[in-house]
Amino acid sequence: MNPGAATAAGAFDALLRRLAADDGDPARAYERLRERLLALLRVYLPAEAEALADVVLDRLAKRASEGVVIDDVRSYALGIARLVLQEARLRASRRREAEDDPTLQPDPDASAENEEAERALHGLHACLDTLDAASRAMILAYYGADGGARIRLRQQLAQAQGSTLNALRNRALRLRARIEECLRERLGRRSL
Amino acid sequence: MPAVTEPSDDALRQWLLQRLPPAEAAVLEEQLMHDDGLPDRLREAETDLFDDAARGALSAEEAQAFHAHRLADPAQRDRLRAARAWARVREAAAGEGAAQDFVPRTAVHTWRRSRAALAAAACVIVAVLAAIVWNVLAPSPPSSTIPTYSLLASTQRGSGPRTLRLPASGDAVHLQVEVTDTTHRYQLFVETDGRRRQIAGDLTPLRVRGYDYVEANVDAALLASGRHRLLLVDASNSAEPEQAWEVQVGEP
Repeated sequence: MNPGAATAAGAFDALLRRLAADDGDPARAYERLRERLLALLRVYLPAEAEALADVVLDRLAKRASEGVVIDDVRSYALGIARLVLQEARLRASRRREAEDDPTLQPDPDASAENEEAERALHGLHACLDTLDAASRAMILAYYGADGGARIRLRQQLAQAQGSTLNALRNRALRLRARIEECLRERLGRRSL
Repeated sequence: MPAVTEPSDDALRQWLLQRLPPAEAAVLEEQLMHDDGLPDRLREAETDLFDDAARGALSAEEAQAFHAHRLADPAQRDRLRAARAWARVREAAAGEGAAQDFVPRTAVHTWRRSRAALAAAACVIVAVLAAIVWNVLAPSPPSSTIPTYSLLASTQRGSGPRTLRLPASGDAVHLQVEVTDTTHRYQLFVETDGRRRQIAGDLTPLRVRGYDYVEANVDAALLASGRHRLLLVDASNSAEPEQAWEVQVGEP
């Protein structure tokens, strides 16, 4: 192991030890922290969220290995994330100035994408068919309303199933992610 | 961390669109790091945002922010593509669901699907929605034998009206139309070939089991075979219909 890698591994171990102080399972705590950071970074810079989360965790690990006292790991990580976001925005701003590139993406409704839209529809049907009937009914119903009716329908669904809204939301999100992953694979894309 | 209130769905949406003031965004950032339920709610808000974007249901400002901040990421563009496919599945289901929602109770078993090629997905959503929306929300039918159709309010912004398909029976029908504001009075119109005719005016909303609606009988002469639009108009603001439904009587 080269010295750089050894240093990084040592820092990572220091972070795990710090996380273990809060949670008996440091690996789980690390994953949960990473998920929160990803959720946060996706709000602002979704295209770079994965890479930026790694930067935040690397810096956090480095601080832990330096013996910095970290009272609240999540708040400390948030502070680092804000700095990392600031840096990333600055880089993006410079890049835009250099390229003089329009910010807005072309309209994905362009006719050239019609064929792909058909493929996506066909793929979605196929992916929905992989679910059992009850799950399929649930996921379609869950996402079957808009606006003010949306929350009302979801509450009714939860009641009808003898569940809570949070539990149903969790299930719906997992099912939707599964369907989108299935569709991603069918369309050969990176992630949905 | 001091106790904070749970953010609204709209606050989460505005955050995703980067339209929140920095101070409010900072509060949400803290909450996201500490509130165990917020990551799921944020993910749900994002999914709903994509679904609305896919249906063109965002305001102009929201759409612009959506393009600027969400679609810079190829993976997010793929999510939008997936959401568009969802919207089409839903559209098929909603057309069927609309018809199912409005199946005349005196003729449930005689009603036929007008689109044989509906996806299985449409069927299951109809089953669930019919069970929940119809049985839970709809008021009791009138005692007469006139077929009753309950029209549920759509909250889809920017989406087209749903199509109801009614058999060309030549009979009058009874309509129960969901309204969103019980403090208003309403009018109902049917529009055929650009000609608007009033079905009823000065309707006072009723409430049954949390379902707010107005009701009126529609003379058979107003619903001849063909295509019509049914319009719910706020009596205090008759310029624009509050809700509109496409109605196909008989086969197209």
